[in-house]
Amino acid sequence: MLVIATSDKGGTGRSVTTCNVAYRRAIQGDDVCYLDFDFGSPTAGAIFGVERMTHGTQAEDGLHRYLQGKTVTPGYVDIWSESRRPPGTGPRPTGAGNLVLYPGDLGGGEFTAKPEVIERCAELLLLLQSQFSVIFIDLSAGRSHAAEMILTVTAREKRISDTRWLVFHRWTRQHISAAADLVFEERGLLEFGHLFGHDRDELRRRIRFVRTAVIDPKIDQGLLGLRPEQEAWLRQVDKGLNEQANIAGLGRTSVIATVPVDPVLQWREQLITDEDVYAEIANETTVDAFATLAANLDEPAAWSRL
Amino acid sequence: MSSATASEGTLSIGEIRTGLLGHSSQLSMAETVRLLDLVPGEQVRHAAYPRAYAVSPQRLAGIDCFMPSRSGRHVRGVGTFATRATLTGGLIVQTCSHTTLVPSSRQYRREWSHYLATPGVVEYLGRLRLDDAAEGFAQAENGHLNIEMGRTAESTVFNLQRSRLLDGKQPLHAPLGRWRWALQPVRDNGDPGLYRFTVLPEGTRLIRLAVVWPDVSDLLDLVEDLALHDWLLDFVSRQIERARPGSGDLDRTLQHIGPVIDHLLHHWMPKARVQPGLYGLWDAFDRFQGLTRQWDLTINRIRDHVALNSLRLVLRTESEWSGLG
Amino acid sequence: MTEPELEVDVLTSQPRVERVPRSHLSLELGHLYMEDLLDGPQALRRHFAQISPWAGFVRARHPAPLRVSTCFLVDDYFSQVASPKKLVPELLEAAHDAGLGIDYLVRESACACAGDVSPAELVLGRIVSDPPRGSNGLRPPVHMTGWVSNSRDRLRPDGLDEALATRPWRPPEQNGARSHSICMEVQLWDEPDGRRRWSCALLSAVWQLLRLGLLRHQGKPVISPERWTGEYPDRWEDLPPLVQLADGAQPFAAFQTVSLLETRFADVEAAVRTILDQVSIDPAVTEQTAAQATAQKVDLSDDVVGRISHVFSDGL
Repeated sequence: MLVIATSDKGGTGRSVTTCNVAYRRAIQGDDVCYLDFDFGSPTAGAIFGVERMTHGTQAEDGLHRYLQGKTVTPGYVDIWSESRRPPGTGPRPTGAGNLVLYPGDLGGGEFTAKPEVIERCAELLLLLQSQFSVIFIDLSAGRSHAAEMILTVTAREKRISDTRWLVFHRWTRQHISAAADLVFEERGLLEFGHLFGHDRDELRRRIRFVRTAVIDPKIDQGLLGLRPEQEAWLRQVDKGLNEQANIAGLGRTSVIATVPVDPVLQWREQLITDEDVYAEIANETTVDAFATLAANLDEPAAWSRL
Repeated sequence: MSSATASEGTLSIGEIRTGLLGHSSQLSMAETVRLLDLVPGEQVRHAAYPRAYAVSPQRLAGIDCFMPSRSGRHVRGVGTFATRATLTGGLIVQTCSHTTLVPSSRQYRREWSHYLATPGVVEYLGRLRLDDAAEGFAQAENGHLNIEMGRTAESTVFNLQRSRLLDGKQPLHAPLGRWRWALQPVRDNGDPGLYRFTVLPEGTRLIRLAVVWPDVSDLLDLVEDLALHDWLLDFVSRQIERARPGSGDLDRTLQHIGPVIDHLLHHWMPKARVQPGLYGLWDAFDRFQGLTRQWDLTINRIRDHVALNSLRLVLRTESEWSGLG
Repeated sequence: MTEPELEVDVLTSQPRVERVPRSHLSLELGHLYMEDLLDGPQALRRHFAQISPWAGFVRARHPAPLRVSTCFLVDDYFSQVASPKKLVPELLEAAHDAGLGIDYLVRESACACAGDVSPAELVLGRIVSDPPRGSNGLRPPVHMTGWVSNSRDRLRPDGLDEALATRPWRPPEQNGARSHSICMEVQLWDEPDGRRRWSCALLSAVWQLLRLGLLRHQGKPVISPERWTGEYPDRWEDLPPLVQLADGAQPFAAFQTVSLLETRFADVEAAVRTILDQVSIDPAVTEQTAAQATAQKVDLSDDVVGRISHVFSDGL
């Protein structure tokens, strides 16, 4: 299964959420890999706690260089053994699958999706598909050549059949309309996808939205120390946003997860382990959201309602 | 197929990748031969017994770089390494990139065709300490590899997985097994030879052998066979771990163990492609690493588990029937 | 307990290559473009008169019982202006008048396509790029791009963003150069209308390998001589790839080759050497050829380039 994470705007928590979902999915027993296609700012190394790759790899063998034919194979990192924070400080948990990061290049920048680049991308995905049950691809924010490349490869290469798109957005008026634009509007995912050979409806069925940094007035009241007036105001706004989301096509049925605000994620983008929850640094609801999303990636019920 | 003959002052090194083809069933021999056509026009060798096995012709790549070293010495070498792919049981793919380092008779690089006349050989210019090179390549965790053969072995798997012969619907996802090896020939003076096996934290296996054996390609077969069985054991154990037998989640158990029974268990066939004279080495490795013992335990565990679950199903069905009565 | 003696043959199918009969020397009596042939019988006569002394010299160096076969390559790949019916008799007559006999006639297009097999594709698949210093297996080889090179071209962009590769000029450097460089960049093909068109240099390299008897497809030689006695056809493709013109000719393939050419072919042949320098021969064929040479007491160079010679002359 190929899981592609994208967003229209930066700052949605797309990368940190996707890394955490990949981590959860590995703990659930799947062999998982994570491709950092955020060619503008490859940050997955930092989130996974691989210090030597805080801004992508320096070994000149990252995904950019691979796609441009400058290295025979892309470099990779085994997270269980190389992360400097938990989980990397211990052996792979019993029953967990592999968790492997394919980093981007330090200072890689964007690139053009020439035919040979598309070929190499297809080759890479086919190889990874034989090794991993879930392949996460983190795209950069906005419309990118990387997104075009993935749309092209998935349209042409029938053997990469199980593809799912996650569109991340914060729970604000601007973010909702930006996410809707990214999917439904001109030069959006659906239009480009159709152009590259996807069936529009079929592609639509493969897209779900992830709401991030959502404040739940009920639950977060104590945490945030909300006054009753503030809580009432929040409810009001929340209702408005729900109406806007429904109209924009981002209503409940097309949402696969809602990730709450978490102080840990606000201050430092990192993996949240169960230990962080036990130590009461991180919220259990955050971990629950990650784990549920991880499990729902191929849960028919989560994908059948459109 | 020509292969380097081991002699003193030489060191053979290589990397192996083991994995599963992205295909729903075993490839037939005819398909296998088409798949392994790495060099156009050259022949794929194959055997049907004791099990389906095929070897591709070797593809060469040229290098001019420093030789492996543990201490960081800089000795330049020029020549080629060879890459071959094998398919076992129409399903398990192995690629191996390897070369033999030999002293050069000149102190400078020669015309390129000179190196192509002896494929799979790298001539080193200067004084190479073979122990230092062997350790750097296949023993030390932070040795200087300097030669990136593993990448070519891996990209050969990339190429194979892209073949139009494959449908991409593999019943199992299996991580690549990674092995790096160094073989030093030694004089036959009664020494038992050297044998070192190291597992790196991320799972790569390193093996160093110093043995009395003239033919490098026989040793290559031996190491490939070890790598295949080690990978098989590792993967099957992981699947059982994931299946969580006894958790009561029968569906989960079946989902992970079913394909293993259907597609993998019968490929365990130690020494099937090893020269009889090297059985001793295989057995020594097996004694230390306990491959066979672990495999037997694993298989018994699977069988017991399957038997137990069948029994449970029978009992449940019976009680349902009696409930009806 | 002693172990029983067992001979285990792990593979049932060892690679088998067919042996080709070989002369000691394959002598090429010139190579002409189709345009040259159009200049009529006089131009052909001039050509053979020019090379005739050299041919005599080469033959004198290989007296019987050493076997020499002669051959001539007709360019029908890049253009086809004259028909075999007209051209072949003119060619044979002109050679004959200069005291030369042509044993084998080869169509250049046979180097691109001979029946079901493309010899050019076979050679392309056997190219092992000459590695610049620092090549360690990380970078893909350059011949994938349709070129072979004997050097590191520092102008070739290597950075991530190719548009930004505007570094100051640094000279290219021949691989393994000991003091000064001579750099070659040889194009192997282009695709003018979407179809691959092999370069003259690549086809000529194929031609050398065919004469050396070093190409096989699934163990079989890719072209074999066919005797032709009747009238020559109107179209080149109706002629076999390799035509045997004389009864009792020595074998087409040989341990060594020599080509007698006009000086204007020196560039192409230098390119041929650059290509052949990077072609690896099927190890089974290498082994068999070496055994054949040993049995016949022929001193054979290990590398392929050492087996080909050229004489360039515009007449003396």
